[in-house]
Amino acid sequence: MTSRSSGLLNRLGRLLDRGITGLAKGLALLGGMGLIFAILVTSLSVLLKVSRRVLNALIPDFATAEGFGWLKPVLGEEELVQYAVGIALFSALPWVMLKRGHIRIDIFEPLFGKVANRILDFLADAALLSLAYLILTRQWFLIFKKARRSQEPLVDLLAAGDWTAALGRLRVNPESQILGLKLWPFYVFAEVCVLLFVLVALYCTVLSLIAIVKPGREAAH
Amino acid sequence: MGLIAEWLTSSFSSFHIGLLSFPVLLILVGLRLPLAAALFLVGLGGTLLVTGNPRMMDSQLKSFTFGTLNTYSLSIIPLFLLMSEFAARGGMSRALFDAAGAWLGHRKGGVAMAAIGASAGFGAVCGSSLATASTMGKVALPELKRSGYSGALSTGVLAAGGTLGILIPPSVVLVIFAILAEENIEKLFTAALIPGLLAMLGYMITVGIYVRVVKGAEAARPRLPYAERFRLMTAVWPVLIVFALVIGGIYFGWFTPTAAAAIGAAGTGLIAALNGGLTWRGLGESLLATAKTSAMIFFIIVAAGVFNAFLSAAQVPQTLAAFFLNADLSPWLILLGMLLLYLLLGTVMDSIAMIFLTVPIFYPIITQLDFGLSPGEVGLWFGILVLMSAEVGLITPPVGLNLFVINNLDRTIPLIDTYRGALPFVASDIVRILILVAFPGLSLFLVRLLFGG
Repeated sequence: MTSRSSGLLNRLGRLLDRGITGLAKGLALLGGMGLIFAILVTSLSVLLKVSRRVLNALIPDFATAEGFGWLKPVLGEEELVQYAVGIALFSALPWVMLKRGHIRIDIFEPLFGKVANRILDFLADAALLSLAYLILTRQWFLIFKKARRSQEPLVDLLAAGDWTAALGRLRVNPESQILGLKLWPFYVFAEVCVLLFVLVALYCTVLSLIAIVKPGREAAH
Repeated sequence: MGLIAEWLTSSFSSFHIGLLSFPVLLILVGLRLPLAAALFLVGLGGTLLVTGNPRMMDSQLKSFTFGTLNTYSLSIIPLFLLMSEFAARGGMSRALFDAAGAWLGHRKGGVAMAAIGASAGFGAVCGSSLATASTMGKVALPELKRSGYSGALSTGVLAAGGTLGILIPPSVVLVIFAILAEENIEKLFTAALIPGLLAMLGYMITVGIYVRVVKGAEAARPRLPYAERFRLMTAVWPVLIVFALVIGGIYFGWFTPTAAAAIGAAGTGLIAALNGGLTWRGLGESLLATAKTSAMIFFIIVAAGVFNAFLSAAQVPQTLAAFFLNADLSPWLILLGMLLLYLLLGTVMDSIAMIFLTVPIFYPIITQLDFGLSPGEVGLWFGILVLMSAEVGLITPPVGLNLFVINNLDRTIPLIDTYRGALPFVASDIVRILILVAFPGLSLFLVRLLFGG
C-alpha cells in the first residue's frame, strides 16, 4: 500500500471515529434531557402537591375553593418519568458500548498476554454485537405485527412497495395506562437507538479485529 | 453444537444443567467477556436446552428490553446516579470537611476522623462509593498530608470513607439488591441507616486505635471555639436539606423512592449550579457519566433477567432452597459461608457484578431458613449484610477500586502503602458485619419503628 493511500485510509478512519463518537455522544446527551425532564416533572408535581396540602392546612374551606383545581400532582407523573428515563437509557446504549463501559472482570488479564487479550477483546465486542442484533430483531415485533399464516413477510411487502399493507402491520394500538400515550413512537425511538447500538458494536468489533491483525492501528477510543 | 445439546439434555436433568451453568458463567467472565454478555448468552443457551423451545425466548425478548428500560421503579437508578454526579460538582465536600474538622480536628488523629465524618455527610447525598472517594479525596488528601499524616493512613482512611457513599443511604447497590430480591426500597434504606452510622463510628474508632499504635500519625489541629464550630456547620445546610428531603421523604412516605431520587438530583443540581460547579460543560459531563453507568447497569439487569428466567425454568433456586432447608446445617453457618464468599469474591470482583451473580440464588435460600425472624425481616437484614460484605471489596487488594481512585490522586504514595493503610478498616468492616449478624435488631429496629411489625 502506498503512503498516500495509507494516509487517506487513516484520515477516513479518523473521520469515521469522530462521526461515530459524535453520534453516540450526541444521542446520549439528547437522552440525558429525558432525565432532566423527569426531574422537572417530579419536582413540579411534588411542589404542587405540597402547596395544596399547606394551603389546605392554612386556609379553611380551601379544599372546596374554586379556581384551584390545577393545584394537584401532575397527572400521569409516573408514566412521564418512566418513558423519559426509558428514552435516556436507550439513548445511552451506543455510548456505553463505545466507551467500553460494560463490566468485565480483568483479574486474569495479566496472565493471558497481549495477543490472547486482543482476541478476548474481539470476542467480547462480537458477543455484545450479537446480543445487540438479537434485541434489534426481536424488538422489531413490538413495532410491526408478525406475518401470520398466509400473510406475506413485511420485508416482501416493503420490497413490493405495498406501503398500505406494510403500514397495516404497524402496532398502533398499545397505549399507556393513565395518559393514553401512543406507545409506537417510543418503540420506534428505542429501535433506532438499538440500531445505533448495533452499528457502534460493529465498529468496535472491527476495531478489535484490526487490533489483532495489525496491532497499534486501532483507533484510541 | 446440536450434538452437544443433545448429549447435555440426555445426560443431565434441568436442575443439573442449571448448576452446570455457573462454572460456564464463571469461565466466560474469567475470559473477560462482559458480565452482561456472559449472563445473556448462558441464559439464552440454558433456556434453549431446558425448554427446547426457541419461541419462548422469542416472545420474551420482544418486549423484555423495552419493558425493563421503561419501568418507573427502576428509574430510580439513573436519577440517583445523576444526583451523585451533581453532588460531586457541588463544592459540598470542602464545606463538609471544614465542618467535620472543626469538631474533630483537635483530637488525636482528628483530621483523619474529620475525613470520615465528611465522607459520611457526603454519602448522605451521594449513592456511589467511587464518587464519594474521589470527591472527598481531592479535598481531604492534601489536608491530611499537610497535617503530617502518613501516606498509608491518608489514603487508607479516604478509601474506607468512600465506601460510606454506598453504606449510608441512598445507595445504588441497595437499589439493585431491592430489584433482584423484589424487596421494598423504603424499608431497605431505613434498615441501612443504623449500620451506615455504625460504619462511620467503626472507622473513627479504627483511626483512634491506629494513631495510638503507629507513631507519627496522630497530628492534631488547635481546638476551635464553639462559635467557630457552629459557624462552619452552617455552611453544610444544603447537604442537610437535600438529605432530609430525600431520606425523610422516603422514610415518612411523602413520595416514592423514584420521586425522592428526582428531588435529590434537583437539589444537588441546584446547589452545584449556585456554587458555580455546574456549567453547561459540567452538565454535559454529568449526563454522559450517568448515561454510561446507567446503561451498563440496565444492560446487566436485562441480561440477569434472561439468566434468572433460565434458572427458574431449571428449578435451581427452588431446588437449592429445599436442599439447604432439609440439610442438617445450621442456618448461621450457611449465612456466614455466604458472607465469607462475598468477602473472597470482593477481592477480585466488582460489587455490582457480585450481587447480580449471587442474589438470585442466595436470597431464596436465606429467606427460607429459620433465624427467629419473619421471612420479610430476614430479607431486609440479609440485604444489609450483602451490602456491607460486598462493599468491603472496594478496599481489599488487589482489585479494590477505591484504593486505586485515592492512590491515583497522589502518585508519590506507593500503592502498597495504600493497601497497608486500608487493612485496619477492612478489619473494622469485618467486626461490624459480625456485630450485624449477631444483632439483627440493629438493622431492623428502625424498620419496626417506622413501618410496624
